[in-house]
This record gives sequence, structure tokens and C-alpha cells, in this order.
Amino acid sequence: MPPRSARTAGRLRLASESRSTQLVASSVLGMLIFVAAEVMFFAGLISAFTIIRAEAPIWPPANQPRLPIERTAINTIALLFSGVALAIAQRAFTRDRGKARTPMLVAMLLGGFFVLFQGAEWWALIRQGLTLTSSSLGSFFYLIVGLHALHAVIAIALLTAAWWRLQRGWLAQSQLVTAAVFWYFVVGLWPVLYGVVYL
Amino acid sequence: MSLVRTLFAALVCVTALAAPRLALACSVCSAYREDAANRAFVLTTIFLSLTPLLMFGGFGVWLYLRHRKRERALAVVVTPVPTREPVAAPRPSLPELS
Repeated sequence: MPPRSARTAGRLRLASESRSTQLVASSVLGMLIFVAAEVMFFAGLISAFTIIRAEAPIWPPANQPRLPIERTAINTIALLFSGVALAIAQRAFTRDRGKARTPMLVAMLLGGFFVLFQGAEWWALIRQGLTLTSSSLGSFFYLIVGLHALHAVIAIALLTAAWWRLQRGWLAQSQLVTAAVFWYFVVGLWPVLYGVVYL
Repeated sequence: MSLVRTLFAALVCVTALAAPRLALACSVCSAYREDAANRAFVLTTIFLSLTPLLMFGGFGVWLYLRHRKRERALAVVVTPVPTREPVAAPRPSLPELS
């Protein structure tokens, strides 16, 4: 079989999707199963954190910096808005593909802002003495929030790939939905983590 | 004799009911502890038990609704437009035999 270019592959996918009789695209189903596994992974981490917190005589531990609740709340709002922007992009995509570009770009930029803001917050906390080994708060904070940040970076990469395809007219509906499912997972998980870890 | 038997049976029942409080079979069963850690164990057990059920249940409902929506859409497309009854073609008349 001769090698196909990305453009040809994209066109073939678009053509086959229009004829598809599947209830859910395979890529979307795969992503949903992956997200279900990730939800259980984070559920385990949240449970462990809750028990450690409940068993601690003083929380947060003594001589440890307090987590920046107010500043992170602003970051949370930015992430939630990025989810809204992606929903607008998805809605626009079904009507006029070209109109999905701007809201999708806004979603990506807000996601990038979230990750950078988190990085700046980490830098400040490390300088104040909260490290992976300083206390159980530090260990769980960097583990849970760090894994979420890793997911956010991967989701932004997926969105960037989808946006690049959209720019060239190769983006299929299933590809956008696959990337969106992962981004909604990242956006929806964060308020839960914020409530458990920060508050 | 019957009274002794009844009292013995009652004693066995009461002992059996009280036993789990001392057994401490697992961290969640530690009913005698009413502290924050025990509450956290119970809550996280409920959380971890219900999360997959809700997730897969929600997915099942979503899939069913999607299927029903598609079936309805297909039904609209497939429903035949009522047409007039087919009219039987006139029989060719046989040539009259003289």
C-alpha cells in the first residue's frame, strides 16, 4: 500500500465519516474509556489525600506555607472559561467550520495561561519551603496538582493539533470531539481538585 | 428447661450482635471510632464505589438517548410517502375470433 500524506488521510477520514453509521466514533469511545480510567485514578488520589488530611492532628502542617486560594480561584475561572470557549467552538464547527477557529484559539490560550500561572505558583511555593519531601501536604499537592497540569499540557497539545488541522481543512468532527472530551475532563476535574486540595 | 434454652439463645444472639464492634475486621468497620479518620474512610469508600457506577451508568444512558435520537431521525427519513393505489394495467384485448 503506498504511503498516504496527512492531507489524503484527512480527506479520506472526512469522506468515510459522512458515510459512517456508528453511534459513537471509535476515537471518541477510546477517549471516553481512557477518561473513565483517569477519573478512577484521580478518585484514588483524592481518597488518599482525604484520609491523610483527616488523620493529621494539624492541617495544614506546621511551618508550611498556605496555599494561595484567591489567586488560584482566578486561575480556576480562566480554565472554566476555556471550557466554555471550546463548547462554543464545537457548536460553531457543526454550522460553519471557519467560525470555530477563534473560540478554539481562545480555549487554547486560556489553557496555556492556566498552566503558566500554575507554574508560577509552584515556583513561589517552592521558594517558601513547600517541596515534595517537606510534608505530606507538599507530597500530595505536587502529586495531584502536578498530574493535573500534565494532563492539561497533553490536552493543549491535542487541541493545538486539532486547530492545525482545522486551519488546513482536514479536521473531522470525531477528531474535534476526541480532543474536546479530554479537555472537558481536565476542565471539569480542576474545580474538584481545587475544592479538595486548596479549601 | 425451655426457659433456659430461650435465655441461652438470647445470650448467643446478643453476643453475636455485639461481636462486630470488637472484631475490627477492617478500617471501615471500626464502628466504635467516631473520629474524622473513620468518617473519611467511610466517605471515600462510598465515593470510590459510586464513581464508576455513576460514570458507566451515565455513559449507558447517554448512549441509549443517542441511539433513540438516531432511530427517530432514521424513521423520519425512511417513512414512505403515501401514494395512490397502483392502478391495474388494462388487459390487452384479445382479437375477436370470427
